Amino acid sequence: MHNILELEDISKHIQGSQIINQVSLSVIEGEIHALIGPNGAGKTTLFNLITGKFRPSDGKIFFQGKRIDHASIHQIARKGLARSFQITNIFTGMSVYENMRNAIVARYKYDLKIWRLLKGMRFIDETTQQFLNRINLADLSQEKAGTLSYGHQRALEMGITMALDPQLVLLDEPTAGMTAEETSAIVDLIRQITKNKTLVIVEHDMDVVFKLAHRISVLHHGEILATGTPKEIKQNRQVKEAYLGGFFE
Amino acid sequence: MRRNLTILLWATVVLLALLCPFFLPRYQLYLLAEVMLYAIYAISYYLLLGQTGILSFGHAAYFGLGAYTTALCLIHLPVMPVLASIFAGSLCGLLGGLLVGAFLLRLSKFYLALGTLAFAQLLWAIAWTWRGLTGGDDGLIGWAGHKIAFPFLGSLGISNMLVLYYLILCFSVGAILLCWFFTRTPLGNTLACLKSNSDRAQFLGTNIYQAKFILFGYSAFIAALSGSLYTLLTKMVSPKVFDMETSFDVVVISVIGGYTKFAGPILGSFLYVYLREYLAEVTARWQLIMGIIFISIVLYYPDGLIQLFESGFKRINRSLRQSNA
Repeated sequence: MHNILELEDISKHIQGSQIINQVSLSVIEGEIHALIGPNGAGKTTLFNLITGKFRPSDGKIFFQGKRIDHASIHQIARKGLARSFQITNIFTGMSVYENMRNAIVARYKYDLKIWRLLKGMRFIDETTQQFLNRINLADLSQEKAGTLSYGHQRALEMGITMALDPQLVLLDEPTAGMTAEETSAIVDLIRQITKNKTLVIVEHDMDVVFKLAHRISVLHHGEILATGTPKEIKQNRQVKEAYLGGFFE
Repeated sequence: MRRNLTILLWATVVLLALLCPFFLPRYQLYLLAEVMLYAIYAISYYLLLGQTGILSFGHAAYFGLGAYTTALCLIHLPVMPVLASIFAGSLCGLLGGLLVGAFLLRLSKFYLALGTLAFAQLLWAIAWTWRGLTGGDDGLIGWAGHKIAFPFLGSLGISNMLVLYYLILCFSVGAILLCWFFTRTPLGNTLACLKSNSDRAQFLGTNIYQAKFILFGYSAFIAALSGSLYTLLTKMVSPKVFDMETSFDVVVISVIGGYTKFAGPILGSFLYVYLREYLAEVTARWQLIMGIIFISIVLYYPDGLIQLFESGFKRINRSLRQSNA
Protein backbone atom coordinates (compact mmCIF):
# COMPACT_ATOMS: atom_id res chain seq x y z
CA MET A 1 0.00 0.00 0.00
CA HIS A 2 1.54 3.28 -1.02
CA ASN A 3 0.41 6.78 -1.82
CA ILE A 4 -0.39 7.24 -5.48
CA LEU A 5 -1.02 10.96 -5.09
CA GLU A 6 0.53 13.34 -2.59
CA LEU A 7 -0.16 17.02 -2.09
CA GLU A 8 2.36 18.85 0.04
CA ASP A 9 1.35 22.25 1.40
CA ILE A 10 -0.45 23.27 -1.76
CA SER A 11 -1.63 26.88 -1.87
CA LYS A 12 -3.33 28.85 -4.57
CA HIS A 13 -4.22 32.48 -4.57
CA ILE A 14 -6.02 34.12 -7.41
CA GLN A 15 -5.92 37.91 -7.59
CA GLY A 16 -5.07 38.29 -3.94
CA SER A 17 -7.64 35.95 -2.47
CA GLN A 18 -6.56 32.67 -0.98
CA ILE A 19 -8.57 29.87 -2.62
CA ILE A 20 -6.51 26.95 -1.35
CA ASN A 21 -4.45 27.26 1.81
CA GLN A 22 -1.61 24.82 2.55
CA VAL A 23 -3.50 21.69 1.72
CA SER A 24 -1.74 18.40 2.30
CA LEU A 25 -3.48 15.29 1.17
CA SER A 26 -2.47 11.77 0.32
CA VAL A 27 -4.42 9.27 -1.69
CA ILE A 28 -3.63 5.61 -1.12
CA GLU A 29 -3.44 3.34 -4.14
CA GLY A 30 -6.67 1.41 -4.62
CA GLU A 31 -8.89 3.50 -2.37
CA ILE A 32 -11.96 5.56 -3.12
CA HIS A 33 -11.30 8.90 -1.54
CA ALA A 34 -14.17 11.38 -1.29
CA LEU A 35 -13.63 15.11 -1.11
CA ILE A 36 -16.52 16.93 0.50
CA GLY A 37 -17.18 20.46 1.61
CA PRO A 38 -19.61 23.31 1.14
CA ASN A 39 -19.89 25.25 -2.11
CA GLY A 40 -16.87 27.44 -2.72
CA ALA A 41 -14.65 25.38 -0.45
CA GLY A 42 -12.16 24.94 -3.31
CA LYS A 43 -12.84 21.35 -4.37
CA THR A 44 -12.89 21.99 -8.10
CA THR A 45 -9.90 24.34 -7.78
CA LEU A 46 -8.01 21.54 -6.09
CA PHE A 47 -8.84 19.26 -9.04
CA ASN A 48 -7.67 21.95 -11.43
CA LEU A 49 -4.38 22.18 -9.54
CA ILE A 50 -3.83 18.44 -9.57
CA THR A 51 -4.61 18.07 -13.29
CA GLY A 52 -2.45 20.97 -14.44
CA LYS A 53 -5.22 23.38 -15.39
CA PHE A 54 -3.91 25.78 -12.73
CA ARG A 55 -0.41 26.05 -11.36
CA PRO A 56 -0.14 26.04 -7.57
CA SER A 57 1.20 29.26 -6.05
CA ASP A 58 3.10 27.18 -3.54
CA GLY A 59 3.69 23.55 -2.62
CA LYS A 60 4.38 20.29 -4.39
CA ILE A 61 2.27 17.59 -6.00
CA PHE A 62 3.55 14.06 -6.51
CA PHE A 63 1.89 11.45 -8.68
CA GLN A 64 3.39 7.96 -8.37
CA GLY A 65 6.40 9.51 -6.72
CA LYS A 66 7.08 12.05 -9.48
CA ARG A 67 6.45 15.78 -9.27
CA ILE A 68 3.70 16.98 -11.55
CA ASP A 69 2.98 20.48 -10.31
CA HIS A 70 4.74 22.03 -13.29
CA ALA A 71 3.70 19.56 -15.94
CA SER A 72 1.10 20.56 -18.54
CA ILE A 73 -2.41 19.18 -18.78
CA HIS A 74 -1.69 16.66 -21.50
CA GLN A 75 1.50 15.43 -19.84
CA ILE A 76 -0.34 14.73 -16.61
CA ALA A 77 -3.14 12.99 -18.49
CA ARG A 78 -0.55 10.81 -20.28
CA LYS A 79 0.93 9.75 -16.95
CA GLY A 80 -2.36 8.07 -16.11
CA LEU A 81 -4.27 10.71 -14.17
CA ALA A 82 -7.68 11.38 -15.71
CA ARG A 83 -10.63 13.44 -14.65
CA SER A 84 -14.29 13.96 -15.38
CA PHE A 85 -15.96 17.32 -15.11
CA GLN A 86 -18.66 18.89 -13.01
CA ILE A 87 -20.13 20.56 -16.06
CA THR A 88 -20.43 17.94 -18.76
CA ASN A 89 -17.41 18.28 -21.01
CA ILE A 90 -17.74 16.17 -24.15
CA PHE A 91 -17.45 16.73 -27.91
CA THR A 92 -21.08 17.74 -28.36
CA GLY A 93 -20.98 18.08 -32.16
CA MET A 94 -19.63 14.57 -32.64
CA SER A 95 -21.40 11.23 -32.37
CA VAL A 96 -21.25 9.11 -29.23
CA TYR A 97 -19.04 6.69 -31.12
CA GLU A 98 -16.64 9.44 -32.19
CA ASN A 99 -16.46 10.76 -28.64
CA MET A 100 -15.38 7.40 -27.34
CA ARG A 101 -13.02 6.86 -30.27
CA ASN A 102 -11.28 10.18 -29.53
CA ALA A 103 -10.39 8.87 -26.09
CA ILE A 104 -9.15 5.54 -27.45
CA VAL A 105 -7.05 7.26 -30.14
CA ALA A 106 -5.45 9.46 -27.49
CA ARG A 107 -4.90 6.57 -25.10
CA TYR A 108 -2.93 4.57 -27.65
CA LYS A 109 -1.05 7.69 -28.76
CA TYR A 110 -2.34 7.65 -32.32
CA ASP A 111 -3.60 11.22 -32.01
CA LEU A 112 -0.82 12.88 -34.03
CA LYS A 113 -0.38 10.22 -36.73
CA ILE A 114 -0.74 11.48 -40.28
CA TRP A 115 0.41 8.55 -42.40
CA ARG A 116 -2.80 6.56 -42.44
CA LEU A 117 -6.56 6.94 -42.37
CA LEU A 118 -8.33 6.72 -39.03
CA LYS A 119 -11.18 4.81 -40.59
CA GLY A 120 -10.47 1.13 -40.82
CA MET A 121 -8.07 0.94 -37.88
CA ARG A 122 -9.65 -2.27 -36.60
CA PHE A 123 -8.02 -2.24 -33.22
CA ILE A 124 -9.28 1.26 -32.48
CA ASP A 125 -12.81 0.44 -33.65
CA GLU A 126 -12.99 -2.75 -31.59
CA THR A 127 -11.76 -1.11 -28.41
CA THR A 128 -14.18 1.78 -28.90
CA GLN A 129 -17.06 -0.64 -29.27
CA GLN A 130 -16.01 -2.50 -26.13
CA PHE A 131 -16.10 0.65 -24.04
CA LEU A 132 -19.44 1.73 -25.48
CA ASN A 133 -20.83 -1.63 -24.41
CA ARG A 134 -19.43 -1.20 -20.92
CA ILE A 135 -21.22 2.11 -20.40
CA ASN A 136 -24.39 0.79 -22.07
CA LEU A 137 -24.41 3.37 -24.85
CA ALA A 138 -23.78 1.05 -27.79
CA ASP A 139 -27.36 1.49 -29.03
CA LEU A 140 -26.92 5.25 -29.18
CA SER A 141 -23.49 5.20 -30.82
CA GLN A 142 -24.57 7.12 -33.92
CA GLU A 143 -26.46 9.84 -32.02
CA LYS A 144 -24.89 13.29 -31.66
CA ALA A 145 -23.50 13.52 -28.13
CA GLY A 146 -25.11 16.94 -27.65
CA THR A 147 -28.60 15.52 -28.19
CA LEU A 148 -28.33 12.81 -25.52
CA SER A 149 -30.28 13.03 -22.28
CA TYR A 150 -28.39 14.46 -19.33
CA GLY A 151 -27.92 11.10 -17.67
CA HIS A 152 -26.52 9.57 -20.84
CA GLN A 153 -24.17 12.53 -21.32
CA ARG A 154 -22.85 12.00 -17.81
CA ALA A 155 -22.32 8.32 -18.54
CA LEU A 156 -20.47 9.22 -21.75
CA GLU A 157 -18.35 11.73 -19.85
CA MET A 158 -17.42 9.01 -17.37
CA GLY A 159 -16.82 6.53 -20.19
CA ILE A 160 -14.41 8.87 -22.00
CA THR A 161 -12.47 9.36 -18.80
CA MET A 162 -12.28 5.64 -18.04
CA ALA A 163 -11.41 4.74 -21.64
CA LEU A 164 -8.02 6.37 -21.03
CA ASP A 165 -7.31 3.49 -18.63
CA PRO A 166 -6.00 5.80 -15.91
CA GLN A 167 -4.39 4.69 -12.66
CA LEU A 168 -6.02 7.54 -10.79
CA VAL A 169 -9.39 9.07 -11.62
CA LEU A 170 -10.77 12.34 -10.35
CA LEU A 171 -14.54 12.54 -10.61
CA ASP A 172 -16.04 15.97 -10.12
CA GLU A 173 -19.63 15.65 -8.91
CA PRO A 174 -20.65 12.73 -11.12
CA THR A 175 -24.24 12.82 -9.87
CA ALA A 176 -24.83 16.59 -9.96
CA GLY A 177 -28.27 17.48 -11.24
CA MET A 178 -29.46 13.91 -11.54
CA THR A 179 -32.73 12.33 -10.50
CA ALA A 180 -32.61 9.65 -7.79
CA GLU A 181 -32.99 6.99 -10.42
CA GLU A 182 -30.19 8.34 -12.60
CA THR A 183 -28.01 8.70 -9.52
CA SER A 184 -28.26 5.06 -8.57
CA ALA A 185 -27.57 4.07 -12.17
CA ILE A 186 -24.43 6.20 -12.32
CA VAL A 187 -23.25 4.93 -8.93
CA ASP A 188 -23.56 1.38 -10.22
CA LEU A 189 -21.67 2.42 -13.33
CA ILE A 190 -18.90 4.02 -11.29
CA ARG A 191 -18.57 0.86 -9.18
CA GLN A 192 -18.46 -1.31 -12.25
CA ILE A 193 -16.03 0.60 -14.46
CA THR A 194 -13.65 1.81 -11.77
CA LYS A 195 -12.87 -1.59 -10.32
CA ASN A 196 -9.23 -1.76 -9.20
CA LYS A 197 -8.75 1.96 -9.83
CA THR A 198 -7.89 4.65 -7.37
CA LEU A 199 -10.62 7.24 -7.22
CA VAL A 200 -10.94 10.74 -5.86
CA ILE A 201 -14.51 11.88 -5.97
CA VAL A 202 -16.09 15.23 -5.22
CA GLU A 203 -19.69 14.74 -4.28
CA HIS A 204 -22.51 16.58 -2.57
CA ASP A 205 -24.83 13.62 -2.21
CA MET A 206 -23.87 12.24 1.22
CA ASP A 207 -25.61 8.94 0.57
CA VAL A 208 -23.35 8.41 -2.41
CA VAL A 209 -20.28 9.49 -0.46
CA PHE A 210 -20.87 7.17 2.48
CA LYS A 211 -21.83 4.31 0.19
CA LEU A 212 -18.71 4.54 -2.01
CA ALA A 213 -15.84 6.04 -0.08
CA HIS A 214 -13.15 4.30 1.92
CA ARG A 215 -11.81 7.57 3.21
CA ILE A 216 -13.17 11.09 3.26
CA SER A 217 -11.47 14.47 3.37
CA VAL A 218 -13.39 17.57 4.32
CA LEU A 219 -12.42 20.83 2.68
CA HIS A 220 -13.57 24.10 4.21
CA HIS A 221 -12.49 27.60 3.16
CA GLY A 222 -9.60 26.16 1.22
CA GLU A 223 -8.25 24.08 4.11
CA ILE A 224 -8.52 20.42 5.01
CA LEU A 225 -10.55 20.11 8.23
CA ALA A 226 -10.23 16.38 8.61
CA THR A 227 -9.38 13.17 6.81
CA GLY A 228 -10.60 9.78 7.92
CA THR A 229 -12.88 6.82 7.44
CA PRO A 230 -16.59 7.57 6.97
CA LYS A 231 -17.16 6.58 10.58
CA GLU A 232 -14.49 8.94 11.89
CA ILE A 233 -15.79 11.79 9.77
CA LYS A 234 -19.34 11.28 11.01
CA GLN A 235 -18.15 11.61 14.59
CA ASN A 236 -15.78 14.52 14.03
CA ARG A 237 -17.01 17.52 15.97
CA GLN A 238 -15.37 20.17 13.78
CA VAL A 239 -16.82 18.67 10.63
CA LYS A 240 -20.27 18.57 12.14
CA GLU A 241 -20.13 22.25 12.94
CA ALA A 242 -18.71 23.34 9.64
CA TYR A 243 -20.53 21.21 7.19
CA LEU A 244 -22.49 18.12 7.97
CA GLY A 245 -24.63 19.98 10.47
CA GLY A 246 -27.76 18.06 11.22
CA PHE A 247 -27.24 15.45 8.55
CA PHE A 248 -26.69 12.57 10.97
CA GLU A 249 -28.62 13.81 13.97
CA MET B 1 -24.83 4.54 -52.25
CA ARG B 2 -24.09 8.04 -51.14
CA ARG B 3 -20.38 7.35 -51.25
CA ASN B 4 -20.60 6.07 -54.81
CA LEU B 5 -22.52 9.14 -55.85
CA THR B 6 -19.87 11.39 -54.33
CA ILE B 7 -17.08 9.58 -56.15
CA LEU B 8 -19.06 9.77 -59.38
CA LEU B 9 -19.52 13.50 -58.95
CA TRP B 10 -15.83 14.14 -58.34
CA ALA B 11 -14.83 11.89 -61.23
CA THR B 12 -17.13 13.89 -63.51
CA VAL B 13 -15.57 17.16 -62.40
CA VAL B 14 -12.04 15.89 -63.05
CA LEU B 15 -13.06 14.40 -66.40
CA LEU B 16 -14.66 17.68 -67.47
CA ALA B 17 -11.52 19.53 -66.41
CA LEU B 18 -9.45 17.11 -68.50
CA LEU B 19 -11.63 17.67 -71.56
CA CYS B 20 -11.97 21.45 -71.27
CA PRO B 21 -8.95 22.29 -73.47
CA PHE B 22 -10.69 20.57 -76.40
CA PHE B 23 -13.58 22.97 -76.56
CA LEU B 24 -12.69 26.09 -74.55
CA PRO B 25 -10.67 29.05 -75.82
CA ARG B 26 -7.26 29.83 -74.30
CA TYR B 27 -8.57 32.69 -72.24
CA GLN B 28 -11.10 30.43 -70.53
CA LEU B 29 -8.36 27.94 -69.79
CA TYR B 30 -6.44 30.69 -68.05
CA LEU B 31 -9.45 31.42 -65.87
CA LEU B 32 -9.92 27.74 -65.05
CA ALA B 33 -6.25 27.43 -64.17
CA GLU B 34 -6.77 30.35 -61.82
CA VAL B 35 -9.78 28.60 -60.30
CA MET B 36 -7.70 25.50 -59.61
CA LEU B 37 -4.90 27.56 -58.15
CA TYR B 38 -7.29 29.33 -55.84
CA ALA B 39 -8.85 25.99 -54.96
CA ILE B 40 -5.50 24.73 -53.67
CA TYR B 41 -5.02 27.96 -51.76
CA ALA B 42 -8.51 27.83 -50.26
CA ILE B 43 -8.31 24.13 -49.35
CA SER B 44 -5.12 24.81 -47.42
CA TYR B 45 -7.06 27.47 -45.56
CA TYR B 46 -9.89 25.04 -44.94
CA LEU B 47 -7.49 22.91 -42.90
CA LEU B 48 -7.10 25.84 -40.53
CA LEU B 49 -10.56 27.33 -40.45
CA GLY B 50 -12.89 24.50 -41.39
CA GLN B 51 -11.11 21.58 -39.80
CA THR B 52 -9.57 23.18 -36.72
CA GLY B 53 -11.47 26.43 -36.29
CA ILE B 54 -8.38 28.63 -36.43
CA LEU B 55 -8.96 32.03 -38.00
CA SER B 56 -6.01 33.44 -39.92
CA PHE B 57 -5.80 36.82 -41.62
CA GLY B 58 -2.34 36.26 -43.00
CA HIS B 59 -2.56 33.26 -45.26
CA ALA B 60 -0.98 35.32 -48.07
CA ALA B 61 2.34 34.96 -46.22
CA TYR B 62 2.68 31.35 -47.38
CA PHE B 63 1.20 32.03 -50.82
CA GLY B 64 3.75 34.80 -51.29
CA LEU B 65 6.64 32.76 -49.92
CA GLY B 66 5.88 30.06 -52.48
CA ALA B 67 5.52 32.59 -55.29
CA TYR B 68 8.75 34.49 -54.57
CA THR B 69 10.85 31.42 -53.81
CA THR B 70 9.83 29.76 -57.07
CA ALA B 71 10.42 32.98 -59.00
CA LEU B 72 13.88 33.44 -57.49
CA CYS B 73 14.80 29.82 -58.23
CA LEU B 74 13.67 30.18 -61.84
CA ILE B 75 15.65 33.39 -62.30
CA HIS B 76 18.86 32.62 -60.46
CA LEU B 77 19.10 28.86 -60.84
CA PRO B 78 18.28 28.20 -64.49
CA VAL B 79 19.68 24.68 -64.26
CA MET B 80 17.18 23.77 -61.58
CA PRO B 81 14.20 21.92 -63.07
CA VAL B 82 10.89 23.80 -62.94
CA LEU B 83 9.27 21.11 -60.83
CA ALA B 84 12.09 21.36 -58.30
CA SER B 85 11.51 25.12 -58.15
CA ILE B 86 7.86 24.52 -57.36
CA PHE B 87 8.89 22.11 -54.64
CA ALA B 88 11.39 24.61 -53.25
CA GLY B 89 8.61 27.20 -53.06
CA SER B 90 6.36 24.84 -51.13
CA LEU B 91 9.17 23.93 -48.79
CA CYS B 92 9.87 27.56 -48.05
CA GLY B 93 6.18 28.04 -47.24
CA LEU B 94 6.34 25.04 -44.93
CA LEU B 95 9.21 26.63 -43.01
CA GLY B 96 7.30 29.90 -42.82
CA GLY B 97 4.26 28.05 -41.49
CA LEU B 98 6.29 26.28 -38.82
CA LEU B 99 7.86 29.57 -37.80
CA VAL B 100 4.48 31.27 -37.49
CA GLY B 101 3.17 28.23 -35.63
CA ALA B 102 6.05 28.25 -33.18
CA PHE B 103 5.41 31.87 -32.30
CA LEU B 104 1.63 32.08 -32.37
CA LEU B 105 -0.02 28.77 -31.58
CA ARG B 106 -0.41 29.43 -27.89
CA LEU B 107 -2.39 32.59 -28.57
CA SER B 108 -6.15 32.53 -28.40
CA LYS B 109 -8.43 33.11 -31.36
CA PHE B 110 -8.28 36.79 -32.26
CA TYR B 111 -4.75 37.42 -31.11
CA LEU B 112 -3.66 34.56 -33.30
CA ALA B 113 -5.55 36.02 -36.28
CA LEU B 114 -3.89 39.40 -35.76
CA GLY B 115 -0.51 37.75 -35.30
CA THR B 116 -0.80 36.02 -38.67
CA LEU B 117 -1.80 39.33 -40.25
CA ALA B 118 1.27 40.98 -38.76
CA PHE B 119 3.53 38.24 -40.12
CA ALA B 120 2.10 38.58 -43.62
CA GLN B 121 2.45 42.36 -43.50
CA LEU B 122 6.04 41.98 -42.40
CA LEU B 123 6.81 39.86 -45.45
CA TRP B 124 4.93 42.34 -47.61
CA ALA B 125 7.12 45.16 -46.29
CA ILE B 126 10.25 43.10 -46.97
CA ALA B 127 9.10 42.41 -50.52
CA TRP B 128 8.59 46.15 -51.04
CA THR B 129 11.85 47.36 -49.63
CA TRP B 130 14.45 44.70 -50.37
CA ARG B 131 14.78 45.78 -53.96
CA GLY B 132 18.01 43.87 -54.57
CA LEU B 133 16.29 40.55 -54.00
CA THR B 134 12.64 41.11 -54.81
CA GLY B 135 12.73 43.98 -57.27
CA GLY B 136 10.56 46.08 -54.97
CA ASP B 137 7.31 47.23 -56.49
CA ASP B 138 8.56 46.37 -59.99
CA GLY B 139 8.36 42.76 -58.96
CA LEU B 140 10.13 39.92 -60.71
CA ILE B 141 9.81 38.67 -64.28
CA GLY B 142 11.81 36.68 -66.76
CA TRP B 143 11.06 32.96 -66.73
CA ALA B 144 8.59 32.64 -69.58
CA GLY B 145 11.21 30.77 -71.61
CA HIS B 146 11.59 27.88 -69.14
CA LYS B 147 10.85 24.38 -70.28
CA ILE B 148 9.75 21.29 -68.40
CA ALA B 149 11.06 17.91 -69.48
CA PHE B 150 8.31 15.31 -69.58
CA PRO B 151 8.78 11.63 -70.15
CA PHE B 152 7.57 10.62 -73.67
CA LEU B 153 6.48 14.18 -74.53
CA GLY B 154 9.89 15.78 -74.52
CA SER B 155 10.46 19.27 -73.09
CA LEU B 156 7.59 21.71 -73.31
CA GLY B 157 7.64 25.44 -72.60
CA ILE B 158 5.72 26.89 -69.67
CA SER B 159 4.50 29.69 -71.92
CA ASN B 160 2.30 27.08 -73.55
CA MET B 161 -1.15 27.47 -71.95
CA LEU B 162 -2.05 23.86 -72.58
CA VAL B 163 1.03 22.62 -70.73
CA LEU B 164 0.38 24.96 -67.83
CA TYR B 165 -3.28 24.00 -67.66
CA TYR B 166 -2.57 20.30 -67.33
CA LEU B 167 0.31 20.89 -64.95
CA ILE B 168 -1.88 22.94 -62.64
CA LEU B 169 -4.70 20.42 -62.97
CA CYS B 170 -2.36 17.62 -61.87
CA PHE B 171 -1.08 19.60 -58.92
CA SER B 172 -4.51 20.69 -57.80
CA VAL B 173 -5.95 17.17 -57.92
CA GLY B 174 -2.89 15.97 -56.00
CA ALA B 175 -3.06 18.74 -53.42
CA ILE B 176 -6.78 18.33 -52.88
CA LEU B 177 -6.41 14.57 -52.42
CA LEU B 178 -3.56 15.18 -50.00
CA CYS B 179 -5.72 17.55 -47.96
CA TRP B 180 -8.68 15.20 -48.07
CA PHE B 181 -6.45 12.43 -46.75
CA PHE B 182 -5.10 14.75 -44.07
CA THR B 183 -8.56 15.53 -42.70
CA ARG B 184 -9.23 11.82 -42.32
CA THR B 185 -6.04 10.83 -40.54
CA PRO B 186 -5.97 10.50 -36.75
CA LEU B 187 -4.37 13.94 -36.61
CA GLY B 188 -7.18 15.36 -38.74
CA ASN B 189 -9.60 13.89 -36.24
CA THR B 190 -7.63 15.39 -33.37
CA LEU B 191 -7.86 18.80 -35.04
CA ALA B 192 -11.62 18.37 -35.33
CA CYS B 193 -11.59 17.65 -31.59
CA LEU B 194 -9.74 20.92 -30.99
CA LYS B 195 -12.46 22.74 -32.88
CA SER B 196 -15.19 21.00 -30.91
CA ASN B 197 -13.63 21.19 -27.43
CA SER B 198 -9.91 21.82 -27.15
CA ASP B 199 -10.04 21.79 -23.36
CA ARG B 200 -11.30 18.22 -23.31
CA ALA B 201 -8.81 17.17 -25.98
CA GLN B 202 -5.99 18.28 -23.69
CA PHE B 203 -7.41 16.27 -20.81
CA LEU B 204 -7.39 13.22 -23.06
CA GLY B 205 -3.63 13.62 -23.17
CA THR B 206 -3.32 15.24 -26.58
CA ASN B 207 -0.52 17.73 -27.02
CA ILE B 208 -2.65 20.30 -28.80
CA TYR B 209 0.30 22.60 -29.46
CA GLN B 210 2.17 19.92 -31.31
CA ALA B 211 -0.99 19.12 -33.30
CA LYS B 212 -1.38 22.78 -34.28
CA PHE B 213 2.31 23.06 -35.11
CA ILE B 214 2.07 20.24 -37.64
CA LEU B 215 -1.15 21.74 -39.00
CA PHE B 216 0.48 25.14 -39.57
CA GLY B 217 3.31 23.52 -41.50
CA TYR B 218 1.01 21.35 -43.60
CA SER B 219 -1.40 24.13 -44.43
CA ALA B 220 1.43 26.51 -45.32
CA PHE B 221 3.05 23.87 -47.52
CA ILE B 222 -0.11 23.53 -49.59
CA ALA B 223 -0.74 27.30 -49.69
CA ALA B 224 2.82 27.89 -50.89
CA LEU B 225 2.30 25.30 -53.62
CA SER B 226 -0.53 27.42 -54.98
CA GLY B 227 1.74 30.47 -54.82
CA SER B 228 4.42 28.63 -56.79
CA LEU B 229 1.93 27.68 -59.48
CA TYR B 230 0.74 31.28 -59.56
CA THR B 231 4.28 32.30 -60.46
CA LEU B 232 4.23 29.95 -63.43
CA LEU B 233 0.78 31.04 -64.55
CA THR B 234 1.16 34.82 -64.36
CA LYS B 235 4.89 34.94 -65.29
CA MET B 236 5.40 37.80 -62.85
CA VAL B 237 5.50 38.26 -59.09
CA SER B 238 4.98 41.50 -57.21
CA PRO B 239 4.47 42.38 -53.51
CA LYS B 240 0.76 42.02 -54.22
CA VAL B 241 1.08 38.30 -53.44
CA PHE B 242 1.80 39.21 -49.81
CA ASP B 243 -0.81 41.91 -49.35
CA MET B 244 -3.97 41.92 -47.28
CA GLU B 245 -6.15 41.52 -50.33
CA THR B 246 -4.55 38.17 -51.06
CA SER B 247 -5.09 37.18 -47.42
CA PHE B 248 -8.72 38.19 -47.49
CA ASP B 249 -9.38 36.64 -50.92
CA VAL B 250 -9.16 33.26 -49.27
CA VAL B 251 -11.51 34.32 -46.46
CA VAL B 252 -14.06 35.53 -49.03
CA ILE B 253 -13.73 32.33 -51.04
CA SER B 254 -14.22 30.24 -47.91
CA VAL B 255 -17.33 32.14 -46.89
CA ILE B 256 -18.90 32.15 -50.37
CA GLY B 257 -18.34 28.43 -50.90
CA GLY B 258 -18.74 27.45 -47.27
CA TYR B 259 -15.90 26.70 -44.88
CA THR B 260 -17.52 23.91 -42.92
CA LYS B 261 -17.52 21.46 -45.81
CA PHE B 262 -14.51 20.16 -47.66
CA ALA B 263 -15.99 20.92 -51.10
CA GLY B 264 -16.97 24.46 -50.04
CA PRO B 265 -13.68 26.21 -50.80
CA ILE B 266 -13.46 24.50 -54.20
CA LEU B 267 -16.90 25.74 -55.18
CA GLY B 268 -15.99 29.12 -53.67
CA SER B 269 -12.89 29.43 -55.86
CA PHE B 270 -14.92 28.77 -58.97
CA LEU B 271 -17.57 31.31 -58.07
CA TYR B 272 -15.04 33.90 -56.95
CA VAL B 273 -12.87 33.83 -60.06
CA TYR B 274 -15.81 33.94 -62.47
CA LEU B 275 -17.74 36.52 -60.49
CA ARG B 276 -14.71 38.76 -60.34
CA GLU B 277 -14.04 38.32 -64.03
CA TYR B 278 -17.54 39.12 -65.24
CA LEU B 279 -18.29 41.80 -62.66
CA ALA B 280 -15.11 43.57 -63.69
CA GLU B 281 -16.38 43.61 -67.26
CA VAL B 282 -19.54 45.38 -66.15
CA THR B 283 -18.05 47.86 -63.73
CA ALA B 284 -14.67 48.90 -62.43
CA ARG B 285 -16.17 48.97 -58.94
CA TRP B 286 -16.73 45.22 -58.91
CA GLN B 287 -15.63 44.96 -55.27
CA LEU B 288 -18.79 46.80 -54.30
CA ILE B 289 -20.99 44.13 -55.83
CA MET B 290 -18.75 41.37 -54.48
CA GLY B 291 -19.17 42.92 -51.04
CA ILE B 292 -22.93 42.84 -51.31
CA ILE B 293 -22.83 39.21 -52.42
CA PHE B 294 -20.48 38.42 -49.53
CA ILE B 295 -22.79 40.01 -46.97
CA SER B 296 -25.90 38.34 -48.39
CA ILE B 297 -24.24 34.94 -48.18
CA VAL B 298 -23.17 35.56 -44.59
CA LEU B 299 -26.76 36.53 -43.75
CA TYR B 300 -28.76 33.97 -45.71
CA TYR B 301 -26.37 31.06 -46.30
CA PRO B 302 -24.00 31.06 -43.34
CA ASP B 303 -22.77 27.61 -44.38
CA GLY B 304 -21.96 28.88 -47.87
CA LEU B 305 -23.42 28.07 -51.26
CA ILE B 306 -22.27 24.47 -50.94
CA GLN B 307 -25.37 24.18 -48.77
CA LEU B 308 -27.56 24.44 -51.89
CA PHE B 309 -25.55 21.72 -53.59
CA GLU B 310 -25.75 19.47 -50.56
CA SER B 311 -29.52 19.68 -50.29
CA GLY B 312 -29.89 18.95 -54.01
CA PHE B 313 -27.44 16.10 -53.65
CA LYS B 314 -29.43 14.61 -50.78
CA ARG B 315 -32.63 14.81 -52.78
CA ILE B 316 -31.08 12.91 -55.70
CA ASN B 317 -29.67 10.36 -53.31
CA ARG B 318 -33.05 9.82 -51.66
CA SER B 319 -34.91 9.39 -54.93
CA LEU B 320 -32.24 6.97 -56.13
CA ARG B 321 -32.62 4.89 -53.00
CA GLN B 322 -36.39 4.88 -53.35
CA SER B 323 -36.25 3.74 -56.96
CA ASN B 324 -33.89 0.97 -55.89
CA ALA B 325 -36.20 -0.22 -53.14
